[in-house]
Amino acid sequence: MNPYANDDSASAFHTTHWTQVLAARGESTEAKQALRDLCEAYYRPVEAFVRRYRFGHDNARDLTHEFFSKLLEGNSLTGVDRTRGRFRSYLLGAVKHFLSDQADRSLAEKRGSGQSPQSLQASPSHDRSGQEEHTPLDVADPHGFPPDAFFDRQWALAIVDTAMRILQTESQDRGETQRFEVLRRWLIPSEDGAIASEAARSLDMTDGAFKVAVHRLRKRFRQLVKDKIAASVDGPEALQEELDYLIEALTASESTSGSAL
Amino acid sequence: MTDPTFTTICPRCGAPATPASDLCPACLLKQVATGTGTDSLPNEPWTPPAIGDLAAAFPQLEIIELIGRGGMGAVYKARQKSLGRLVALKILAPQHAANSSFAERFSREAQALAELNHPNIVTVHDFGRAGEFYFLLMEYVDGVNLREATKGGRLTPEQALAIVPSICEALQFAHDHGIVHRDIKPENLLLDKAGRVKIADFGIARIMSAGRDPVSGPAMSTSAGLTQECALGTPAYMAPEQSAHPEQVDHRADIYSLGVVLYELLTGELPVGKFEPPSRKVHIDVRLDAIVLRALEHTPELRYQTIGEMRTQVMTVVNEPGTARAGSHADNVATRLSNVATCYLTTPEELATFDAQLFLYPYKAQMLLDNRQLSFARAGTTTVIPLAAIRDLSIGHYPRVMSPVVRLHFISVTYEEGGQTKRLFCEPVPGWFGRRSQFNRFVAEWFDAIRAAITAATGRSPGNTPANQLGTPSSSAALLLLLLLPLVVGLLLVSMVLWTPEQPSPAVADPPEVPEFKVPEFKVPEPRKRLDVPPPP
Repeated sequence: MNPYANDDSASAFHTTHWTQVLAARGESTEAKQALRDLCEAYYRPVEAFVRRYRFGHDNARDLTHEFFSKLLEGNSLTGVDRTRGRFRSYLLGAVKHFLSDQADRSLAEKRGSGQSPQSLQASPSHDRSGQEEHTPLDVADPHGFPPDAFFDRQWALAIVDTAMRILQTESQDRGETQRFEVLRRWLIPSEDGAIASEAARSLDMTDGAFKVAVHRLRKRFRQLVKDKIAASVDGPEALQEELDYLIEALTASESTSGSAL
Repeated sequence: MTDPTFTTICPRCGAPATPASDLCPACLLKQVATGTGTDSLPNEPWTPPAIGDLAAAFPQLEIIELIGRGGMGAVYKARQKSLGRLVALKILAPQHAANSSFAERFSREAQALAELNHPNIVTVHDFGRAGEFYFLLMEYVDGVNLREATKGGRLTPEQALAIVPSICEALQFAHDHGIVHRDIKPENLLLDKAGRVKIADFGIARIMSAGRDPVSGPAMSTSAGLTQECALGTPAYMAPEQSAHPEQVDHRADIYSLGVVLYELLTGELPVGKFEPPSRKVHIDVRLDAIVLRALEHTPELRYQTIGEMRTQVMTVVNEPGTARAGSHADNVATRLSNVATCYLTTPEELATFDAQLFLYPYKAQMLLDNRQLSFARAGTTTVIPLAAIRDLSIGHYPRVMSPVVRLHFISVTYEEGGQTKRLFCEPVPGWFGRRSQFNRFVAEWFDAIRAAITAATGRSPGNTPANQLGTPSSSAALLLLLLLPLVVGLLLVSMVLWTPEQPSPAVADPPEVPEFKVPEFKVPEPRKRLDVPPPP
């Protein structure tokens, strides 16, 4: 299962930094833990990417698992290009590499295994499974990957989603679930005073108190998103750049990035 | 609702909308990027005009007091001097009246409201503009609204059930006249001293949304045709589509809002997030769970399609109390049964092609059935078919050429979407190897499961067309040709063999000659070798 779905650590925000991982070249225990946390946080974009790439393969999830366990156990950080600086770029590169490797291997197995050819008399199910096995041939094509924009969009969505979950969990802990459900709609600025005061009244709040509550929620949301992005980039100056980039990724035309979630 | 590609865009930033979220992720990130600059919250709330100012604008009225105020306006108690009757004067908040289309929209909508004459709807006596004020002059209801009535907590189920049928009747009446309330909430449901319920503020939300100025308001996309229809309502009571697609809202939004009100009346809480059925919270008839949960369906197609239908269900509970067993039914409602399988997905058009008949069509999908919908997930798209939208469910056979001996079956699903009838074929598969009978049995199991789910969800069973009338595509001519080709070639070869001058039949007829023929052949090579050796010496 997706560790993200029952992620108890959603409230414990990942403050470990990609820089820390890079500095230790993934060698130290802390760096390993940091990488583990990062991977867990970005499990979903990778899974979406693999799923789209090898759609229909029941093993998309297994592949994702395999990818992450290889990444975490292996010394795969040696090849990281420091200048690229972003965990997002690194992970995308790594997953592509992994998938090409997989494709090569299954291709080799297919050629060398010496299995007898399937009978033409086989049932349609045989035909289909035969067709299934052809897919790795397509995969060997380096251009067969979903566009990077798709991955970036998934990435941005994962960040927004995690921040939102944390906000929700925090509200739950304070016993303010209902309040949060109304307030969250105001995370996006709106200029309608009329609706705002309606909303305030539905929460039995004065307009002033409502305003303060919305302000606090937005502030917290900003903090959560920034923390999360900061943990995945190399240095604080890259934060704003990465944020702008992710906004661009979300705003870009769907035709280039495919479907989400 | 199918979601093949994301055709919807966020009206604020133009980014493709994400169905999983009601808040646009791009807008959220932009909020992070711009920081505190955007925190200037809503303008200061509008201050209702003083009684003195109104008196000047309404000389025919004696303004008594301010009795209520909301985001859309303020309500005053007044006496109509000529008739001596009490009236309620609603003054609309002026910030909504800023743009030019407002006046026209206002008079059109108000006229429709004035024609709504129902004992459970607050009557509109007059409307118009007096000085700077847009106003509605309405029947005065001496009593309290439902919010005030429930201030001390929740209503007893009996009390709640006593008023809901009247609300349903009034809403049905309005819906029949083409008017959707759009803002059903306890504040708009008034109880007079005789205990009668009256619905106030019909269609006001729609009038007010017309007044939102697309220029000064949030940047609305003019090209999307959404300019005039903004989400306006009370968030906690609004149907999901009301905030996502305000332009598509119909009467079923009211059904949702009434579901929220009913839930709140029964439990004292709002149904937000993952909420429990009412009977898990308070001791009530479990049949109410089904009613509330159906009204609160996310997809309009899955809700009651008319509010009258909802009323009938409520009346059943009222008239036949205590017949339902506690527990079991609630569990049934609360637990969403679900089935998942891998399947082949195709359409009648695709199935007629050469590729498809070689089983080369690429649409392998995951199919998922739960008690609300049947969905197919494949390469980046998900097709969601609400069970209520399925008109016909039948078993079909693949064309003979694809399964010559034992016919392979698939499930044909015919459904309505956006006013069109669509059909797709799916074949859930238990695995890649197996006997045909196994495949067909698996298809049959799924067929029964889907059928049962539709019947459970909608109370009716879908149509069932015999396989031979399904219009299954005939075998592809190209494929037939391909299959016939070896036969033709074979025949050709045979005829060529028959044409050779030697008679093959004697050879077959005289088997004894063969061994004799072989013997000399064996003997020939040996002498040759011996002959080859001598010359060198």
